[in-house]
Amino acid sequence: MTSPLSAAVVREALRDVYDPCCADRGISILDMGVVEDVRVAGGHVEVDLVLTTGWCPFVASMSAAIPDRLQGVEGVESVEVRVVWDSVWTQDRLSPMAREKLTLPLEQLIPYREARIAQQKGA
Amino acid sequence: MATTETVATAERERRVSAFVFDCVCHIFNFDPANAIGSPGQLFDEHLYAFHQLLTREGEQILSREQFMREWSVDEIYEMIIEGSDTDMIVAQPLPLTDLFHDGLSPWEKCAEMAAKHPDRAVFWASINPLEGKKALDLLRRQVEDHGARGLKLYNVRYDYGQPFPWRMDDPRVAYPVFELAQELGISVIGVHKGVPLGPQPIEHTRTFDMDGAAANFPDLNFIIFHVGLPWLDEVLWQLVRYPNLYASIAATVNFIARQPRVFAETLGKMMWWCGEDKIIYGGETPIWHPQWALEEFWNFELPRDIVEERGYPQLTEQAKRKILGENLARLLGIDVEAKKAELSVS
Repeated sequence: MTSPLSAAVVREALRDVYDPCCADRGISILDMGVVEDVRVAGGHVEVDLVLTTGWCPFVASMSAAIPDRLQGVEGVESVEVRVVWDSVWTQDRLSPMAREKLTLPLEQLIPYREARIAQQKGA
Repeated sequence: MATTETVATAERERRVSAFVFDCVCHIFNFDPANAIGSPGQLFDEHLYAFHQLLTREGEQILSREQFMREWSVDEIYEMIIEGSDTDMIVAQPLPLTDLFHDGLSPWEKCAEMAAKHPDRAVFWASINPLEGKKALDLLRRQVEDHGARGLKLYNVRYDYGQPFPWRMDDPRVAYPVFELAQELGISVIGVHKGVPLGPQPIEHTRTFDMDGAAANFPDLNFIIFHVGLPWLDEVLWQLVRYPNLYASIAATVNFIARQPRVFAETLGKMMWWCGEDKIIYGGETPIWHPQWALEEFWNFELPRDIVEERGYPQLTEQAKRKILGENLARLLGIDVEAKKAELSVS
């Protein structure tokens, strides 16, 4: 028996979809936190994406890969992918696994920042 | 909301009370006949899409016919200097002869703008370092014969239908250019990072090669354009450690109207890590009319919740003045007060 089509089923399927810039590291678009919303109405699925930056060159790739993956999900008849602009992507949206793989240890640079501020105060 | 149009300065009320030194405009040739095949067309389409997408609501969005054409030196100068609160402008060539017959913004036209308006326009050189001695000879010509005061570089070529990347820390390709630039008196080198041009692989626009350039040429100042987006953390990783690295918010600032919180997150993080002295404004005319972004920036504040939750410093008037012009003037050895007096800028 298969699960009825739901947003949860769609999200699970999206774990197999990758932004090309992170595919080699096995980080899906869900792990990247770019899937803002999933809505299901009958067999119609709508997926909202929030881009890591408005310059993201892979939006076309993702917009094609999502319907390609979802057409194999039982009950899906049509898919619409939209980019939303009101939400902000920050690193807070990364999954723990993605954060571990992608985040630079900027905290190591705090001494540089403190030195800059001390120099400005002394100037 | 009033539409930003090119209105003569004398007839237009100034809305930005800071000395504005814009670090980039291009004399674009978007004539479709100028593009070399689909890669060039793709790049043109990217820029036109950005124009349509990011232009502030209520402003004029140019039709395809108005945008996709060969722009003139006079049109660009008038749009920036007459039509906005910009006081000085850097005219930057594009050496994209892999994608466009004339490179997309021919250096001769940029030199022409500076020659016509030596008080307000500054010419930067641009070459393709993969051309070896030919590139060095052209750099010398642009500096010695045409007064170039900076240099702009692009790390990915797309010759013969495939990408040819080169790195800023390559001793064979980049360092001879840097050495000659220093010999010629150039002290500022900009480099396009992030934001791939047309079909260029984004991997080659990353910024880890800036370490070698900055460390080996401490007397040169390097400006990473577009904040290297999406590689913000990588850029910060470089800027924090090297005093001679800077970031330009050219094009990035144009998110300010359509996505103000996105811009606030980026700018706040930059200011927290690097301080306001390392950030440089750029207008990217004519992709966007410069005035609306200038006005938005001059009136911009980081949202309170972002400041409180992340601890970012607020964008003060002093920070705005530095970012809008004083930082670039300092790098190019221009005395802001003397220049304001010369240009009658109050």
